[in-house]
Order: sequence, then structure tokens, then C-alpha cells
Amino acid sequence: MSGRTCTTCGEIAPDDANWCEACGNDLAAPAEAPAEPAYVATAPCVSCNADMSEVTDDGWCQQCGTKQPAPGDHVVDDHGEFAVVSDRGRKHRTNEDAGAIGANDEVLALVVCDGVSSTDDAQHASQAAAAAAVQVLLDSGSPAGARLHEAALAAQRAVVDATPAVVETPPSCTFVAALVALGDEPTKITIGWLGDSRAYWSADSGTRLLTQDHTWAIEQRMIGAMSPEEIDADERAHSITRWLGKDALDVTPEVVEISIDEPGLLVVCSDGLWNYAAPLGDFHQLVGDTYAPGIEMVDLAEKLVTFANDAGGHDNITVALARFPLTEPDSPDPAPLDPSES
Amino acid sequence: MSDFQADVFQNEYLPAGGNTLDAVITVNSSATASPRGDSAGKRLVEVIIIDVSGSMNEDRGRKIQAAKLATMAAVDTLDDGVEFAIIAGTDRAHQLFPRQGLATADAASRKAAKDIINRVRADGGTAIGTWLQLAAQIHRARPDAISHSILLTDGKNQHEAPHVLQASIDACVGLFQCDCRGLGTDWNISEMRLVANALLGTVDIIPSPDDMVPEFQSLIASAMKREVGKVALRLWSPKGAEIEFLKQVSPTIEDLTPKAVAINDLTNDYPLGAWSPNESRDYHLRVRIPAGGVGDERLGARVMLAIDDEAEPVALVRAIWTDDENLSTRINREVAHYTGQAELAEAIHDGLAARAAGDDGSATMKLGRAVQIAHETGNVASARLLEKVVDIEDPKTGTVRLKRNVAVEDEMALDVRSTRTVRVGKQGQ
Repeated sequence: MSGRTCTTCGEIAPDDANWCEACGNDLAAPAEAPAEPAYVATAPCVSCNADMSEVTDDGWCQQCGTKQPAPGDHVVDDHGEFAVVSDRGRKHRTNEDAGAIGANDEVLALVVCDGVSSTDDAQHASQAAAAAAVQVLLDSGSPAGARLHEAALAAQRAVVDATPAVVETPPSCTFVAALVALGDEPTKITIGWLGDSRAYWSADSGTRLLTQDHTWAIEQRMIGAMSPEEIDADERAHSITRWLGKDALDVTPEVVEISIDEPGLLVVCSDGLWNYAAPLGDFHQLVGDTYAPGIEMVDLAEKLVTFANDAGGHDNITVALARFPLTEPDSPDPAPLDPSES
Repeated sequence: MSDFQADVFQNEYLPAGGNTLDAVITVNSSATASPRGDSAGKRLVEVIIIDVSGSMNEDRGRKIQAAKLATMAAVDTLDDGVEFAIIAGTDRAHQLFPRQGLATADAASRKAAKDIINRVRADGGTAIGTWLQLAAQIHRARPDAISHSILLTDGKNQHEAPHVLQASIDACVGLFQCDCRGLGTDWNISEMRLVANALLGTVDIIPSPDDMVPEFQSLIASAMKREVGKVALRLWSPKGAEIEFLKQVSPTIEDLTPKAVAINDLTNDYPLGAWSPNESRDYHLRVRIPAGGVGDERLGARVMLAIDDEAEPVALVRAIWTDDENLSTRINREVAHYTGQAELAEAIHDGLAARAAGDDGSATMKLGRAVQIAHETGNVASARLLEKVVDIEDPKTGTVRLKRNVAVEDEMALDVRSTRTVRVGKQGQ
């Protein structure tokens, strides 16, 4: 290794330096990540169904050798009329996506963050960001648009706090949040985002993409200096231009507000899902084909995750869903409800 | 703290349907490796077996004289407190010193032993199995020691049927380790390999009597460094898996596969013998496991070190199935290197066999390939030994000509040392 990067100022310091020469940051502080806690099996082996006593404390089946899923590999939070499912997918070794949802008497909030760094801490960053954002969305008394800005800032602070002092690439993540004011007619949904995680409104009449990806390709199209072919062929086409993270240049979310006057679904998701149905018509058909009258939101989210995994599962997949009109208002408590409820 | 530490070098990515995992496992003993709760480490028990058959009188008595000097030098090299015995071998085994059992090394016992060694005369035949049986009987009295023997012979096992030798070897397995040395060129490499492979020792040629003293001194010095006895590599592999092979690949190639001792349905022990502190050995494992689906991650093997039957986990060999060919087609550098070293040893072995059978075409091709690999991988020792058997025109392409006149000791040295490997070079790092 040829030195390490100070996370405060970006200066390259020698490997054995305790302090950053440029800014005085303490480079030696958290030298090592805390040891992985022992794996505690709670179910039989996912592959051969061997008794959970056969699963070792480093998470492998002692019979067939299969790696048991990590706690974050498949996360479900089911609130009845809204739910989120986050899945590791088939290709990545960890789930760096995170979703957080909640509601009180006044508002409903759905947040999805997609960890974009390959460092170990990207998952911690996205989890911290999503949790911090949903808390602000529920608790702040500010008007909807301002609340989205506050949520993005809180998420940014949480990501920075989760960043180790010494790191090669600071962990970072995308951000998309939907805030729904309950009780208004027509229902108002405010969306704020940074990066390429998306929000859709899907109704019988059609599906609308509510966000516009912050990617190099889309920004170039708006500038108009390059042809669409040149843009798509460029290796930077899919790289995101806005994100949350210690190295983020601008964490001001783009915010839109819509009014809805028909029954439908609010879908907030990471690119692990929408990449397999990128044209809007495909996404509309996907939701329409997957939806069934009376389906639980958590089951619909699971089915969409399964669709993405069957299509290759090349990325982590997170889908948060809410059905409108909300037939049974959720508990005012924003804490997750018993996941066994169905 | 841990006595052993291991690193695994492998490409864990398998293509869809792939079921074969290769891994190189480097095992290092720590600077303070010694048995648990025993700060002094284990004591060495050394039984030296020297051939005193009639042929040792050849070369106007130089052989027997050199063997006596070397054995006396070995006795002088023993630390105080080491228990030892000397066996003289002919068509039967004689315990030279002490009269029976073991003596403890000190000034008086060393002098007494050397006086007796000095009076030995060479006479009679060669029955190596009887020598080993006597050594086993002596070693058996100290089951917890680091049990080591040196076996010196200058001839073939003429006065004993092959099955008797084999049975004697089998009776010694696990009792002691044995380094075998052949003096001159009249001994049989495959006989000595049989003994050394089973008894976790080395084989080498001592071409000239003059080389004997330093060789014996260094064998005793290395034996005395060993402090951790009865170490085994313990391998767990999943249900349905098959260990295709486990080979030691450094410092020499030794196939451990047939030595497996089942611990349970999924776990086997492979005895490694005794270890010195700061020692490093490499192993190449090839295991076949039931194929998983794309995205699955499984253990191919869990590698442990078992010392006195207490197992310490050291490394994991993993499998991840992927449809990304960039990942699954990569060949790990260490695995490739040792695959090359194994091919080098095989090419030398096959080349010499072809040469002995008069098949010059095949011998030239095999030894040429050996020169090429030795050159590519920086195995300088093997390259030098090959130079004495073939004239090298171009080491890069392996273009060689067989030498007309080759000294027998050079050919034997190449054969017996062909399994010595080098570690992965620093180039390209």
C-alpha cells in the first residue's frame, strides 16, 4: 500500500502516520473495524435444511457447507398497507441497500438508499442514512418540501458519522424519499432524491416516473452537447452525479410534488429493480402483471424482488411500496410492527 | 496465542456447474510454537541407524570410516538431555549403544557411545526392515517425544523380501520420523522413498564419504529444533465432497492423500510430523464439491491444525458460483506455480525413466520440458542438476540434448531431489 487518505482533507499520509500532516486529523483513531459478532443461527440451513445446531458461529452449514444468509441479506418491514423488502441479490456478497419506512397520524414516509461504495461500510452508511431520513420525515414540523431537504441533510450527517477516520473510498449512497400527507384530498406526495434510486406512481391508467436520475448520461442529454449515441457509449454514462457521503459535493435533493386522485401504488426502489424494467412501459407492465387485487404490499414487494433476482440479481434490490387510498391507517407508532403480521 | 497461522490462495469463483476447487494453503508455525502448557517444548529422542554391511568396506574402508566419523559427529551435536541410541544394521539389527533402551546425552554417555562406534567393523548383508523394527521398539518407549531417526545405507535391501520391508515400515508409521540417506550410488532410490514417505522424512544422496559429517550434523540440528510433535492437517469438507488430492508442495512435493485418517464422515487428518518454530510449508488441495447455483456461496473445506488431537481452525477454502467469466476463468498465481512445480518433478522422473529404458526421444522431450519449467519458475537447484544430465541449447524453449556420459551420482541426485520446489517468485508483485 502506498499511504492512506485522510477522510477530512483528502491528503495522502504515509501508512504509519498517526496524524494528517495537512489538517491534523487523527488518523490512528479507529485502527480496526470491530470484530464480526458470532453468527447466531435461528433457522435450519437454507440449502440442505440441516438442523440449526449444524450452523457454525462463523455462519456456514457443517453438513453441506452453504454460507447462511447474513442478517442484512434479506430485510423485510411490513406495515400492512405499506412495506419494504431489501435483498442482497445474486451477485453482490453483501446487501449495501437499505430501506426505512414509517407513518404517524399525519404522514407516511418511504426511504430507499443504495450504497454505491464497495467498502465494507457502505451498508452501514445506507442503513444509517435511511433510518435518519425517515425519522426526520416523521418528526419535523416543516412543510413537505423543507422536510425533504432536512431529511437529506440528516441522512448525510448519518453517513459521515458512519465513515471511519481512515478509509480509501468514503462510503456513500443514493437517496430517495417519499413523504405522503395523510388526510388531504387529493393526496399529496412529495419526493426528494439524490442519485439514481427512483420513485414511481403506478395506476391502472399508467405509470409515471416521479424522479429523474442524477446520472452523467441524463445530465449530458440536458446539456445537449453530445449526441445520445455518444453519451450512451461513454463509460461514465451510468455513473451518478449526486450522492450522500463524505466526498459528496452537493447534498441538496431535487424535490417534486404530485397530487393523486385515483387508486394506485407508490413504488420507491433502487436500480437493482428498475434496471430490469427500465423503459416506463416495461415497468408499468411489470407492476400490473405482479399486482393482484387484495395482495399484501409485503408480498408484492417480495414478488418484485424475486422478479429482479430471476432476471439476474446483479445488484442489491430494495422496493418500498404503499397502496392508495390507504384503507387501514397504520399505527401512529413509527417503530416497525411485528413482522409476522400478515 | 496461536501456534499456527495459515493463508489460503485460491480463486473461489466457479462457473455455473463448476465443482473443482484448487487452493494453496501456506501454514506457518509461530516463533514460540511449543506444546500447550509445556514451556520447555518436547524432547527429542534420536535413534541413528547406520549400515555396517560388508559393502561399507569398499573404497578401501573409506565408507565405513566416514560413517563412523559422521555418527560420532552426530552424537557430539546432541544437546545434553536428549535421549538417543545407535543401531548398526546388517542382515539383522544390532543395538550398538546403549546395550538396550535409550541413553541420555551428557559428556560421559557421548564418550562411551563414540568409543563403541569407533570399534565397529563392517561385515554381513542388508535387511533394512529388521533395522526399522528395532528402531520402532526403542521409540515405542517414548510415545510423547519428538521421535526421529536417521537411516544411512549404501546398498539395496538384498537379504529381505520386499513384503517384509513393507510390513516393517507399516509397523513404524506414527511412531517416529525417519530421514533416509544413501551413501554412494549402489542403493535404491525407490526403497528409500518408500521408507521416507511413510515415515514423513526426506531422502537424499550423499555422493562422497567426505560429505557425511556435515550432513549428519545438519540432520541432528534440524531435528533438535522441532518442538511441536504429532501435528496433523485436519480437513473438513461438505457432504458429497471428494478430496481429489492433498499434497505438500513446499519445501518438497509429498502426496499426503493416501495418509488420510478419518475423524468422522466429513473430516480427515493428514499427519504432518513434527514442526520447528518459524517453519513454513505449503499444501495444494484439490477438492470436488457438489455444484451450487449461480450466486451460491459454500465452503469447499475448512482447514484446521490438530496438535495432540486439539484442533485449531486456520483457514477456509470457499466456493462462489458466478456467471462472470472474468472471475471464474482466473487461475490463482500460487496454484499455477505449484502445478508447474509438480509438472517439473514429473517431467524429471519420466525423463530419467525414459532415458533408463533407452527411449532417447521421449527422454529428450521430458527433460527439455523440465529445463523449461525450472527456468521459468526460477528453480535454480533443479536447473543445475538438469545441466549435469542434458546439454541445454535454449532454456526458454526447453531445447536440450542428452549428455553421452553422465555420472551415476549426478543422475541419482537429479532423481532424488526432483521433488524440491521453490516458492512463488517475487516477480510481478
